[in-house]
Amino acid sequence: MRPNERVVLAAVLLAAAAPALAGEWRAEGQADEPAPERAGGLGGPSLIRPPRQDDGTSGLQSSFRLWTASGGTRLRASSPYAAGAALAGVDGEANRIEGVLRLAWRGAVAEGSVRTTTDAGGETQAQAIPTELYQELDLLGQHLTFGQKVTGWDVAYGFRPLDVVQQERRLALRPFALVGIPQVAWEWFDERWAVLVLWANPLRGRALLPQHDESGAARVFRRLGPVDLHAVARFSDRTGLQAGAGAAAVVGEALELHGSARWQARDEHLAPPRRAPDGSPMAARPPGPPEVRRDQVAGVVGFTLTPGLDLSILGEAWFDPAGDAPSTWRQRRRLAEDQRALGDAGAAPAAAVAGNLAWGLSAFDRQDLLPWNLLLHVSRRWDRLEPALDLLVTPQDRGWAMTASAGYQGERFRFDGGLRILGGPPGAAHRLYPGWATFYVAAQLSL
Amino acid sequence: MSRTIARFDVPLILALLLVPATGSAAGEDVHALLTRADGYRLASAAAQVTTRVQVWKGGAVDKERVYLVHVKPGRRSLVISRSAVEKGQKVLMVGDDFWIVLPSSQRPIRITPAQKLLGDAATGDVATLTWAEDYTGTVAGEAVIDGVPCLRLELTAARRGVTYARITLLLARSDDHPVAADLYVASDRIAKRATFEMGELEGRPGVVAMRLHDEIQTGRETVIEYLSREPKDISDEYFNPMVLTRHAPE
Repeated sequence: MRPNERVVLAAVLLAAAAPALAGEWRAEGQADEPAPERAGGLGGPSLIRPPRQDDGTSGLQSSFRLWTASGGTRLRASSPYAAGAALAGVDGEANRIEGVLRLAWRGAVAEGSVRTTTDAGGETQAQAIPTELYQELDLLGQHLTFGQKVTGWDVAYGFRPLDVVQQERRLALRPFALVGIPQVAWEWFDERWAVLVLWANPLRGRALLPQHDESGAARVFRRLGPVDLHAVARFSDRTGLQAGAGAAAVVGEALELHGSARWQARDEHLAPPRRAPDGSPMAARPPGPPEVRRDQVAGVVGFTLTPGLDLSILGEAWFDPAGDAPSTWRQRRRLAEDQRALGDAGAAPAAAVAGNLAWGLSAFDRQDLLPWNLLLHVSRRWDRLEPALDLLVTPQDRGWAMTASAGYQGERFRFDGGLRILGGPPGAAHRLYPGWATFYVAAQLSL
Repeated sequence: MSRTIARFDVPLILALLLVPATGSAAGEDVHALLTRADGYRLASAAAQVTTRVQVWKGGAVDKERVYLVHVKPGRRSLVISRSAVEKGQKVLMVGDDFWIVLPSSQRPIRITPAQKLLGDAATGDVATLTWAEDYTGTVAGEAVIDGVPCLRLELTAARRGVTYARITLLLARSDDHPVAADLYVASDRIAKRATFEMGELEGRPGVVAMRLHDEIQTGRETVIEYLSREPKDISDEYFNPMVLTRHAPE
């Protein structure tokens, strides 16, 4: 059996078992109040006790979700990167399947994902990973968490400067379930304050990806009437200190305003395009290590408006220092055009040109291509159907990405479909990308 | 089929209209009336209520949701979805402030009062079980609904953030239990007509179901059934939105 067949079989078996797994198990006659646990033979109630479940019982809670999405990307032949698109995988995935099973019992949560990705050539990669696995405990009025837990912070939607621990990539199409961050966390809260201190990725040191770095982080929350205030800090070897603050407030019946900003001592930035010492556009090695920039600031402001008629409008503007300036994109474009010209003239092997262009395409593998971004999201619900339109604009080069989508929510099934188109004037970063349109259809079963 | 305020017993109404408006009914203390009416929906100030919401369309159940609702004085409530389609979703209401935690995001999101109205059974319909704290008004007359003599109260929101800006509420003259209500949104447009079904829950008489006839999307009816209702005083800290990404109330 091929690996993809094994994973599909595992997903089908999970789906078959899910009706029995999903729901709640309670032993016959089990009392609502769990019996006090004994601590180390002291004979009294334990000081450490796991929290109970959502409904106040100690029963096992479970849920299961199986989804599949198929789609494709239409290539833009005029892009200077077009010859590297296949090597970089821009022509896309043909299919994704994911089954997610979640179990929760007395403060212990286990969630696992079986996921496959099939590319346009039919090649399938499969993974089975724990996405969350943690235990929550209450101890003398303090609250502790041990294990791997999704830990998303911030008040914004399109870009989240305060999401310093999870570092979730936003605005992705068809994302898999988030994978939690291993941590030891302490929390204290009352009705208005919440304080969280955590040690993320303990003893891991510096990892390949920033979110996997060992770090210490803290978050303070204060509710002041209609305003939520957030402050966060994180320290890691890669970034040094990061510190930020944000607020969200409701103004009137239908308007919510939010904003957040973060400073960090060091930030790794994708290296600018470089030519060989002799001026040749061709390189024999991948782009060099990232540049380290100091005192980087990121920020976002936005609103949500719900004027009625089941209409929802979101607007945001943000500055992300991870994006490149338009002048850097002009350099990238010239380099890619020169590489393509060498290939077209037969002056360089096609494989070498494709390899160089594919390396160049790594510049597109990040959330924001340019620092300044504007996002408008409009959606309206008609009973079970919810169409939505997203427009992301990079005003510095007038590039844009537009996504039209629609979702149908049934009782157990959900169906989604969408189309994302990238455009802008010639030279705009979104226009340079060799895939100009990506479409998808998806189906999801929840039990 | 829902009963609505429009279905009056005409002769009795005419007779009642002849009663001088300065009668005993007009002199009733509206707050006391609402407090007694609230007692039929929420017997204790702090409680845990299991609620089933069914949306009927074309004579068949179109959607069904189950919620666990924790209510505390001070206009505090926490709604936890138990249905597969919304499992893990929590909505917190503290006074005029509202948050939602979606299972996919793991962070509380501030929502506007208008967003409470989204959905077939507005979150406010599920989470709000009292009127006395939220509304003031007058006794505007009397009426008979399906043979039940009622007091007609005209209520207006005493604070922002309530689900409905205005309510015409009919309480049974005999014991002040709620019989019917017209629910108006901020534009003064009628959104829903409600009728209340009495029964016995946890050994005492109370409202066991509320039927909401949608006046905007006609042909739809939402039935909110109270499956269980028990006194339960969860800790105040669970009304902090940041706690919702952690475990739910003990």
